[in-house]
Amino acid sequence: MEALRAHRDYVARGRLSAGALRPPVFHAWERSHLLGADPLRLQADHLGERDAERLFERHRGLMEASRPYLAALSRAAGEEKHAAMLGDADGYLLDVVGDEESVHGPMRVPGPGALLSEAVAGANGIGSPLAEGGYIELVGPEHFIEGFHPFTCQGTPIRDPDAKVAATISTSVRRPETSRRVREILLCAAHGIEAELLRGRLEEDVRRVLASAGMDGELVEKLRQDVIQSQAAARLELETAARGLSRHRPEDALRLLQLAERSMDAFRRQSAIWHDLTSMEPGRRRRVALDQVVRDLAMLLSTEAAMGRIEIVLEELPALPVEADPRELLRRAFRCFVEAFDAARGGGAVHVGLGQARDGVAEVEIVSAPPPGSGREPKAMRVTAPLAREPGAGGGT
Amino acid sequence: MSPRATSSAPARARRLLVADDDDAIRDALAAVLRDEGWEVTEARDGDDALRLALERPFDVAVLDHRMPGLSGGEVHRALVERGVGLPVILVTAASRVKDVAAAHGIARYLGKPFSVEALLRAVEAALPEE
Repeated sequence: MEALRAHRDYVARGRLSAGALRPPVFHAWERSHLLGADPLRLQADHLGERDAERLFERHRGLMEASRPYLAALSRAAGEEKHAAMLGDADGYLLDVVGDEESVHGPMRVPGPGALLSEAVAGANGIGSPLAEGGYIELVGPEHFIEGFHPFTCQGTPIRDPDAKVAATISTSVRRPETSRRVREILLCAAHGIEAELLRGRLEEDVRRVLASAGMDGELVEKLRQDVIQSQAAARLELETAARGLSRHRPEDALRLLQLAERSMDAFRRQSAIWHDLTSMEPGRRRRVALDQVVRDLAMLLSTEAAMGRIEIVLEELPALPVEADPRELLRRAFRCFVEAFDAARGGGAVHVGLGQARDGVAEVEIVSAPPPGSGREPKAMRVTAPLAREPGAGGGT
Repeated sequence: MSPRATSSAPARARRLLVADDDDAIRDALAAVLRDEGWEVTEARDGDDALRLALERPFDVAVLDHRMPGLSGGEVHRALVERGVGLPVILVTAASRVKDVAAAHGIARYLGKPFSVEALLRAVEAALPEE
């Protein structure tokens, strides 16, 4: 009611009532006001047919990547009247999925091609997450324009692999309250779409490495498959959670969403390691946790180790910060791991230890223990890097 | 008794074997298929999958390809060689999914990541006609 009063007050006097609105909503109204949005507007602006076609063509990859996640959001809504929407970074709607009445009925939500930036459509579930750079929910009259007052919207941005906001997704329902379950699955779906975009970069990395012939093609393909496992798990977990929500089993669904988030974290981590490993650009020399480099590689290669019946034994790994180009360091350590794997394949082990080689130098020691009777010789390899100076130590330039 | 059957005979649970070394994927697959009424048996690797498939009757098997021990494709080959006509759906993250499946004589496959809908469609399609 307070939001409705604030809206009437704003329409009558052109004045914003800070106390009547929740802070994120007030900020969204402030922006809408400054950008000149019309609070009496009943619907959003739409692109013409040809411009809309061009827009969809430009965002075809994003739309394809998002489709399963919009479908999952829609499924999670069950019987409720709803719409799940995807918008681009400018606030243009690209895709809308929902029940027939919400998407095509006389009281439908805006359709693909509608412009929902705050400048045009005021505070709303697509434009406001873009402007805010984070999740936002708007209940009924918390929407800036009157035409959106029947809806409750929850929206969140989607970031590309460089962490730039690339899109938004939101859900709209015709009831005056938000839902924690919707928030959880919406955020998870956004992370799922981000994971799809990240997979796009992963595939580019793979193509580039294969074209450069810098790594063994068969190994590259195997590692690519291993990294994708976590994303595949996350997608199944999210979709299963959506089915659970639609069947009124919220506890199951929330547990699965947590698992999906964990799988996506693993995928993000592995993709980042892979990206650093395959990057052709030199990195910047900086402080790097050498023990973390070892743990990262052990994680990336864990499936390959299981496939080759190789035990990776991580000896004591003290925290050892070194000064290095992290990509170059990672590549050096990776090559040693691969060589050690070749020697240990078929029932052997790879022991990895970390220590201080001599004054001011840290080293990773990677020792292969071939399987008994293989006739292969044990191998010991070392990767060294200068220890990082303690922060605040003098003498630097 | 397959889900396509319409006779009045008592329906037995449809039995499905899921094999994947990735715990998260195997758990999610098993959860969604149990939810759809399947009796699901899980295998953690190819050797385990082959042993189970030879021990018990299943209606369909969903086999990951890249697993420790026998691959999903090798499990299928071994079953064919032993005369076990179990419909198999191969799941793999391989770039050339179709080629991998064809190389092992498998007609039904899913490329990871795949949707729950695609999985359920594939499983239903793999069931033999009554």
